[in-house]
Amino acid sequence: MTVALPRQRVRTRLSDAASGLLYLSPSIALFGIFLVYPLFRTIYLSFFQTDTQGTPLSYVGGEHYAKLFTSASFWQSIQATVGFVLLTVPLTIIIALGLALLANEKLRGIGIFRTAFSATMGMSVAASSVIWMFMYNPSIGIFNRFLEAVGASEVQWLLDPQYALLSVSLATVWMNIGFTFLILLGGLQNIDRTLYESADIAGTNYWTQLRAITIPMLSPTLFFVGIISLINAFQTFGQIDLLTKGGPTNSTNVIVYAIYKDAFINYNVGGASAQAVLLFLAVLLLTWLQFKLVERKVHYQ
Amino acid sequence: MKSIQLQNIKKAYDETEVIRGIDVTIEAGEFFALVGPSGCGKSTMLRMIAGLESITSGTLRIDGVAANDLKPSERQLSMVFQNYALYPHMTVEKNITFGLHTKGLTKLEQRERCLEAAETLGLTDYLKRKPRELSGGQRQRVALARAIVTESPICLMDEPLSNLDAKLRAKMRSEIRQLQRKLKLTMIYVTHDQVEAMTMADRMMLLNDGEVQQVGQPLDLYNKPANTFVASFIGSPPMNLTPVQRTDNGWVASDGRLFHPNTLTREDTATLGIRPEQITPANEDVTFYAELKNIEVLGTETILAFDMGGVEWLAKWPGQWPLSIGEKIACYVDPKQMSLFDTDGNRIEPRQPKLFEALEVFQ
Repeated sequence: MTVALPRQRVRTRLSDAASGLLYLSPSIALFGIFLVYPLFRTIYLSFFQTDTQGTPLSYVGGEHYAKLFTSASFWQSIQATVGFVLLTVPLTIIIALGLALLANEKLRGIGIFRTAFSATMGMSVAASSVIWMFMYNPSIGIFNRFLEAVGASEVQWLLDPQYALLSVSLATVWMNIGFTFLILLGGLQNIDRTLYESADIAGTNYWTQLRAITIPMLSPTLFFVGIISLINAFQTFGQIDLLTKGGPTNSTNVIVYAIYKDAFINYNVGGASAQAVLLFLAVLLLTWLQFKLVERKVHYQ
Repeated sequence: MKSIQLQNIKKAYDETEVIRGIDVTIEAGEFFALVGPSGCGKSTMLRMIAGLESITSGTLRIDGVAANDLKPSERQLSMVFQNYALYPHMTVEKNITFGLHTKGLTKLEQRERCLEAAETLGLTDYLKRKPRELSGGQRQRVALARAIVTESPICLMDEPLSNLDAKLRAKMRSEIRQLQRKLKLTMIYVTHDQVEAMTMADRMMLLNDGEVQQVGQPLDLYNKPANTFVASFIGSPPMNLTPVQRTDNGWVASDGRLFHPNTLTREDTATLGIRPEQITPANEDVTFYAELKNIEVLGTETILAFDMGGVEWLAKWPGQWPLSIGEKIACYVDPKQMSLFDTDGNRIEPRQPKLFEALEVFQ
């Protein structure tokens, strides 16, 4: 009996692990095929010269990386990416927070506004891009019509290197507001009402309550939204492809679009892989930094 | 010290009336308890006094001045919430002083007041802690400190002890009462626990379904319940009630037991009410015999259950009684301690000696 018991225990533990793995297998399979394998394949390819099909031909070591750091177009796409991130992320969060604060008020018919503000979440990037393409259209678009009406000269929104990145960023802000708004509204609604009632009795005004109660209590949600938005901004592709195709003069050639062009238009799979690896490392580093620096100021309940 | 006056206060959400006209004056410096079962509207009433809910109709006066449209901060009151409403991201000190700047106090004065309040409530060692690092009782004290630090003359409390365990609750009960006396606060205290109300209040109001059932000193509600609802809500265990019919010999329960309450009425049917502690072991006079259905010996007292006209009645005898189930006991009830309620459930006043003779002749 005393001998049989441990053996039985080992067997149960093994069969527990086996059935656990069985439950996990669909998820492991999907994760492995579509995430883990491509990741390692990309890292592998970034060290090889390939043919147009992406078949590795010869090992070149860090040559692709070395080339990138001296390539003007790579630095240009980094500049475009950073500019795009700085234009979209803060603006999206600030506007969405403002809308969420408005929509969190208890007013008659507020449900209509909540639906409207979150509506862009239900729109595909392609459809939204087409809408903005029309609005930016130099001759029939509403922006130039407006400029015309106030007597200003018209602007080539998507064709002028000075405005293209800004225009694409504005469209992106609009597209991302719905999701960010919804998450922030959810966060606001989770804040205990009695905290505000107590503050009302204490006599503090709206702005004090916003600064001293709402923002700290919302900080976990803001942190989450910040990270998600940042990662999203680094990975933007659809609206660039539809609105500007990286142009004019590479001013909107953000890194993901540059990777796409290198791999599928220029057939430089090795170079594209190297860029992808660098993007991955950059996002990893930024997210890690965010956790290190910002999370200390986040208040979790 | 400030008094509070409610004149025909009503509250309705859309079409549903949840407070149906309340008239009461809460005297300055009084400990006033608002009691009732959950959903009776007691919290809504407190929130209307605080200014957190609008008043549908009627007038609220604070120290004689109409206060219906005053902001919560202009009503010179503080409030303790059921969940304490502490700011989880602020230290105890910040929690206590939050909002004091609106009263025009300098940082130094705020700190002094905070230390004073913390001293009163034994929180001095915890000022740098966050609420989540405190026990339930300590959080409760922070909420109390936050209420007294404003030095508002009126204090509102919404079930402040319901999240504490029984032992701590009893302790905090007496602490809150002492604090109220010391600071001469006008206190409005909402609770569903009639023991809290009975032990703490100068006067109490029992609400049910948005309507006032009775207002008075705790012992008035206990001794002379205005209706069967008050009778069954106040007291633990509550008053025994059973329907009775008038006969020539007296009032008879459906099982034939006869009672002679000291009350005169023209009603033919009524409800008889007797408190468990007023059913005593019979020495000479026997009011009724009862067959025991259950016995609970609690050390200081024994609770006896028996059947009375199809209703289970309880008797509370002091001391420990070695009785067994099925045993027949003889009980005595002083006729003066019997209450009668009419068919609407309202109390029928016992006859006064002189009036009684006059009516006897009249009959």
